[in-house]
Amino acid sequence: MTRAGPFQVLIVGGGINGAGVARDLALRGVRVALVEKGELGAGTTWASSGMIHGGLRYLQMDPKVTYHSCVDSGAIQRIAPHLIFRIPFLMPVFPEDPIGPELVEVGLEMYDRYQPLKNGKPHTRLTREQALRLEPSLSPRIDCAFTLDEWGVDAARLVAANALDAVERGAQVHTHCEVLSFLREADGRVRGAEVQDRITGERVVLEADLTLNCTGPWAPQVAALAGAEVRMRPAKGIHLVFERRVSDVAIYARGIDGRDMFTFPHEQNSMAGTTDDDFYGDPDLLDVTEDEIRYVMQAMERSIPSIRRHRVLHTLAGVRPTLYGFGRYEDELSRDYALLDHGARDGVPGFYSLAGGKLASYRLMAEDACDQISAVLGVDDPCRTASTPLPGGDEAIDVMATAKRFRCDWPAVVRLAFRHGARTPRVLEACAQPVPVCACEPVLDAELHHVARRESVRKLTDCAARVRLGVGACQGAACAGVAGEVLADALGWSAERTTAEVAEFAAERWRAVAPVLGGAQLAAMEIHRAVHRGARAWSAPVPGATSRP
Amino acid sequence: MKAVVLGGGLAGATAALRLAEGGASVSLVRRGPGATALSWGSLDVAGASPDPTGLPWRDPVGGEPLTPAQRLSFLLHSRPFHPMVALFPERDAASAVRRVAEAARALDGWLSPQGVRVEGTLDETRLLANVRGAVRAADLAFDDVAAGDLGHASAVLLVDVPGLAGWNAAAAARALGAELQALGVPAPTVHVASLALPEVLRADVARPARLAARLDDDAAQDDLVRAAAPLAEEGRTVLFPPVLGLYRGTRLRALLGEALGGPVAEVQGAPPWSPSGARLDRALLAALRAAGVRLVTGEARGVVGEGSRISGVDVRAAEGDASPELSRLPADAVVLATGRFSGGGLAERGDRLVEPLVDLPLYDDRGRRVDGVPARRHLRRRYSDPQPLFSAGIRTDGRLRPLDAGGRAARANLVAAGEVIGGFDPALQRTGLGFALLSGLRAADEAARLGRGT
Repeated sequence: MTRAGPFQVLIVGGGINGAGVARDLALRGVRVALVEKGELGAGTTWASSGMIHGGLRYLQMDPKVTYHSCVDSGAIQRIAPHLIFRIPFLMPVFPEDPIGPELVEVGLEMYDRYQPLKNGKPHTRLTREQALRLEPSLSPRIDCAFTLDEWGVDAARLVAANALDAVERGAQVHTHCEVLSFLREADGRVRGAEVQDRITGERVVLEADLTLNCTGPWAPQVAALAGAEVRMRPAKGIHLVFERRVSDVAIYARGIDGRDMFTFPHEQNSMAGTTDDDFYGDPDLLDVTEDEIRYVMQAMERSIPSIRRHRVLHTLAGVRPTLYGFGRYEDELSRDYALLDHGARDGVPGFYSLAGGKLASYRLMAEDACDQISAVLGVDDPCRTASTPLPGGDEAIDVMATAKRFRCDWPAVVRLAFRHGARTPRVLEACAQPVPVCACEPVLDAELHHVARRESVRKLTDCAARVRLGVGACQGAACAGVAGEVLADALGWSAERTTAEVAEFAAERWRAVAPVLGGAQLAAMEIHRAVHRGARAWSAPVPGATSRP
Repeated sequence: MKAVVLGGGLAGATAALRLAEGGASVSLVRRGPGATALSWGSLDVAGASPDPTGLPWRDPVGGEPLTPAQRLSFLLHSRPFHPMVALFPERDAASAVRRVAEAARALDGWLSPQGVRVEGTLDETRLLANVRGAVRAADLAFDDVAAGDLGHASAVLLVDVPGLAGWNAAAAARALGAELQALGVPAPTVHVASLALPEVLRADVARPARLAARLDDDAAQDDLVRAAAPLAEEGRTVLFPPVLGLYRGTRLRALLGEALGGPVAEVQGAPPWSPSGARLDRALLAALRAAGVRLVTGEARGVVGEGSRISGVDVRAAEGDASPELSRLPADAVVLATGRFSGGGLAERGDRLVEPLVDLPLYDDRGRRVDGVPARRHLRRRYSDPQPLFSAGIRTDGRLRPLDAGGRAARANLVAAGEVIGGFDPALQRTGLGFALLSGLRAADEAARLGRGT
């Protein structure tokens, strides 16, 4: 067994919170290690709406959350302008809505006061005719509509960028490494963890002065390993992902129970959601259910009557790590966060948990947590995450010139620049002549080489969240095999490993697709099965060990 | 006799060709390229599959590799509900093999004037590799890939074309070696060598389809042969990526064979780039035209008739930019060969799984009725689990007449062919194009009889 460290801080969990904290601490010069049992940001973060919105919703019950979100949204725009895109929202008002246009406008006027914090534009009020002209798919039953301004982000890439920056500033980040146990001293103090690499099986002891549990919905399980308790009221949320965009703007929709949801554009897809339901199960075993799908579609149909004609590609499911609260409806629970000192709470010194929070204010939450951790460690460097650009966020690139220089199709370069910003040329240098491996969204082999060699990608399944491989219409029927070969070249995989990785990728896509498979997508998945299940005479290694039941 | 064939894949096309040969006046309606056009060069009859519901590669008792003929016999005796069995009610393997050979000869007779040949017999085991290096047992095969048999080669060369999108010869060679080892057959030595494309072809290297089309040109073919000549080594099987011409590859493969001194073939493609399927599809269309079959591009919208007899098919043509019009094709007999989901033979309408044309009941491979509810009800969450939805299709009687919910022939003069007939999962039980061919021919014979009212 090998040992590593000692580190000052061991972070468990590589979602947005863990990665945000790792970067913050690394910028303060703290020696950090981060372990994540899967791919960075592949849990709750990737299943989120991918929005760094201000939280109009929270204005009624928790204006502090709205304020923090807006301030932090402004900061994220400064440090990662390439990862951010503006999403104009349309909010239709129906005759039967309990809150009429005048009252809605009062709320939006209040929200307008927060908009400058995040470079948002003030709301506008549209007549029925104006709204229908702007978005003809809106229901003609509306009275009027409002616009408001929010921001979207590639959430998985935001995690990767934070982790990458942490690594470049001296941190260690280990993906696909799971905590087996925490190292304990006689007085109960946690001194790090023994972790196992889920790919190689290798076990490593990581010693650290302080251990921070950032595992989101897994936090209670991980805390229990250390004999500590994290109380949470986890809530499941799902999204439906549509082939192509339903609309270029986001559109509010109301669930049968009065909850607000929306459909919004993301890359070449639209997404619709999200649900919010108490979840008592294992966050590793998430299935999207028929009633969740119907609930979302019913809500969308009220705003966009033609929604059922759009092809649903796949689903995203995640669990919100909401703080414990008794009695309220899921939707009304606070999105606030807390840094729990288990030394004081459970007699487990050296062990902390960061719980709650939301994507939009991850940076502020990390800053607050790291201020407290720095105080414990005796580090007095201030937080620099609000002003130091994330990797690729330092300057804009000329997409057309870059495409020409590397002889690539410009749409592929646009997507690269969205994810990698100023580092796009560095990504393209990974191959003599970059060629697309995926036709749904043009993913270039150069990007796969880059994320395997220079970022932490270790498995083909990592690439769905990291570079959006195989999340389009063919769900990896056309690209998984080719991409597997690219990663095999980059990472030195054997033929058997490559085959197993491709099989696992296909199986993961199936899990995301099966709950909503119907309509035109049936033909696509028929072909998917012909490619992935019909191509060989002998049994390919079935991804049994690592896949979920 | 007026026959209307619905569906232009291999099943529909062979049915139409056989009917036309018999003197019927035949119209064939097709939406466009379907599953046949995405096929990859094998013509499986009883293909080996690792799935427990499929046919084994080795004898489960003796352990020696089975020939396709032996697998067909195994199928006939162990899978009573597979629709292939209905085609051979006597369950006599020897006569089944003879019938397959006749069918293959008939298909070859129609296709060879269009530049596509059918090769092989059910007595030999043929192992073909695809672009990923995955190895598959191919019972019969089309000539663009047939010569790439790995089971009988002593040395194989995979030709690397630097920069060609979707083709990594070194990775394919690694995979191929591992697959042959897993199959337990004596593996040939595998080499990889680079081919420097002639300058004129290099511009299209990122787009395999365009490169293949460029290689339909004689001068480009000659350039390629010259560039490949240094790779010559007597007796070595040479595998190229599937770009050796789009439709005029026969000449190029022959020239390359002479220049390189051994068998030359393409590796099998993988959808969406599997030119074998595109070539087959085009050759079928040409054969249909040559046989005087009237081709209608469009979609059948319904059948009309009195009592249980169909008298016509309503078709919405999709030709040109003119507003698509509904026209009625008169029919004495109708062949339903619309395939499954990619062909349009099965579909979801308003969250209901249906056979959209006649609204026939659908059954999975365990005989459970599956239509009328959302398709997703018949799926399991694990990819490796059996997926009842993908074994679903209509049921027929012994004369290939589709059955209604009461188990009677749904229409007096309607027969079915190809994968619209359910009860097996084509990805796992590889009776693929073989079932399409055999059922297509049989359906034509039945349609001829029913159309005459006998």
